[in-house]
Amino acid sequence: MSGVAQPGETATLEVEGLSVELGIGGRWVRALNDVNLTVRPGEALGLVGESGSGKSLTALAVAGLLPDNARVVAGSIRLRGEEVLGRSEAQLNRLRGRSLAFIFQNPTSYLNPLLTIGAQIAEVFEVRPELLLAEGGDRLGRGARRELAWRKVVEHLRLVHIPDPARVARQYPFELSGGMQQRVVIAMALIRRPSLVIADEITTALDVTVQAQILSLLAELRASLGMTLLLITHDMGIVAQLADRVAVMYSGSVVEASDVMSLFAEARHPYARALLEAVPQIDGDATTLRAIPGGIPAITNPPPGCRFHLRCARVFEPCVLAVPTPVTLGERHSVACHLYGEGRV
Amino acid sequence: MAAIVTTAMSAVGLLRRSKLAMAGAGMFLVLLLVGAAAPSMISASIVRDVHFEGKLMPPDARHWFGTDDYGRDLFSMVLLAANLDLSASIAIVAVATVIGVVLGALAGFVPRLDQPLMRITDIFLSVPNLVLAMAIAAVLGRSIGNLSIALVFVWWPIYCRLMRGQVLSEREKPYVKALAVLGVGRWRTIFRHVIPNAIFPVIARAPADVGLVLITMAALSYIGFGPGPYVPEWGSLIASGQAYIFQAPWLVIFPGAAIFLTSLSLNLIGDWARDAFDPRLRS
Repeated sequence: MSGVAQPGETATLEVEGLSVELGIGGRWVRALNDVNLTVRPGEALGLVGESGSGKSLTALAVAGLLPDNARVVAGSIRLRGEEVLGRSEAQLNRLRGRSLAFIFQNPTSYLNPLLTIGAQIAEVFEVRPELLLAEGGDRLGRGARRELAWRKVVEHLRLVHIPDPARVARQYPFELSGGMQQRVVIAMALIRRPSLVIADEITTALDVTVQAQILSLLAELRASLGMTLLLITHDMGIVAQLADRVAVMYSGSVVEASDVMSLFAEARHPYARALLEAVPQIDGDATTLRAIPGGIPAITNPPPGCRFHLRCARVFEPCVLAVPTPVTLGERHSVACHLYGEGRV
Repeated sequence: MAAIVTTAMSAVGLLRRSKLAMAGAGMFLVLLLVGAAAPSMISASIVRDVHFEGKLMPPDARHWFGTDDYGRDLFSMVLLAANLDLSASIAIVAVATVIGVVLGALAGFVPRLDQPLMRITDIFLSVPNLVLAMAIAAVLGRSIGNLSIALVFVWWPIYCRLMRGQVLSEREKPYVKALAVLGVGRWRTIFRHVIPNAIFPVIARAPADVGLVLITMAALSYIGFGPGPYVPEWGSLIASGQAYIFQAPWLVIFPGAAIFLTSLSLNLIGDWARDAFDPRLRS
């Protein structure tokens, strides 16, 4: 749970050299550039970056849900050692069903409006009857199996702190608030005991108090179930609260990856630093919010060299000339910046 | 199943809240009952029961709607026609809906069939409704069955396109993506999730279309594509009555009123159905 894993252990998720291109206006544009990520069992990795940095695209690639206009040009994605890329739809379905759960940004649109909450969650058991094996699901008749599935549904709704779960299971999605719907989606993800849970901006569509509830629920479930989490967000506060490790993305590349403590203590990459400085301080006496000047470059027309150099406060000549390669600074801490390359540290 | 039951329940709830829809449903129910009972209460031989001595009589206690140019009781004729017109237009819409939904779903799900099917519907939709129905009815010959076939040909492309569009938009919805991550297979996703969601707007259109089909059918038989003077049908009753429009206006007024009331009631039901099947308005 603490994210400390044995060196020989298979990583839950390993993304290696992932490059993805998007078809925009009749040509292929690089949207992800040599992305490397590792999530070990029990670990929570926060993937942060502003809009358009490629964090959601990375998550979709991991889930095999890339849009039709996207193609993987290089790299490998392994879930518990099994390659995700290049699989048929049926194989992918099986792999995803066994090892992956995806919690999306807007819970309302991720529930089928015509089915009750209970029927939707119970469908998991119809697709994967092996989940009931522990309770002897294979020896039960149809009706008894349904009853068992329903009991487990109610039990999981209780697990995510839904009040009166037996009643909610018979309700329709539109009868629930956004926060309740998100809890339902989380229950639906958990009931399958996935190896990896991808949470894509899950609190963005919720109001602040509900956000806090959902985050503390996730933290609690992580502690009690040992959930492995890939947390996609642009909110450093969420990262601090939930993640063990963090990877900062900028314009399609991971610019810095380290554990949360060292990033918050001493971020190396100028972009990661600027991001942390942009977090509003409640006890500070500054009256203006710090922002990073400029905007993320258009992927259709990226600047040469380091993609951040136009906005970087510490830019010098190599930045314009070459794309920086990741440098390892300490144990599982890497940064892609010319400031730290070739013995400059 | 459960989804259908709750939809039906909330539909009934919505119906009870809307006075206009209630009026429409009540009116249509009465017409439907009258139409269904008509053949058992009125002898079919009445259409051949010609009394030239009593022709074109104005409405009175014995002949509520008066008599026509053959001296037949117009009330009985209008009632018998109600049976024919209602059952034919309901059947036409039902068949067109089934054909349209099946082909539309195929077009939506099978990319290879999409273009061919849509071009075929284009051909049908490019010819104005009445002209296309006239052409088909003229080829097939005058009978109520052939007229119905012609109208099915006219109506199925509308449902086909609607269903295709629904399927295409529904299958791109996020919950379908979520099902894929869940490991739910393609067929299960299609039949349990996409089709039930896609089909509601298509079904919601049907009641109003029954009214439209009824009017079109009456129009076609009015201009001579109907089953002829010995088959009671509202459109052909008007057609044969119009020659006497100044002498015996009731020949046109009563069948006309029947068409008007039926299509009015169906339009009211149609408005309600549109709301009832809209999940956003369900509560």
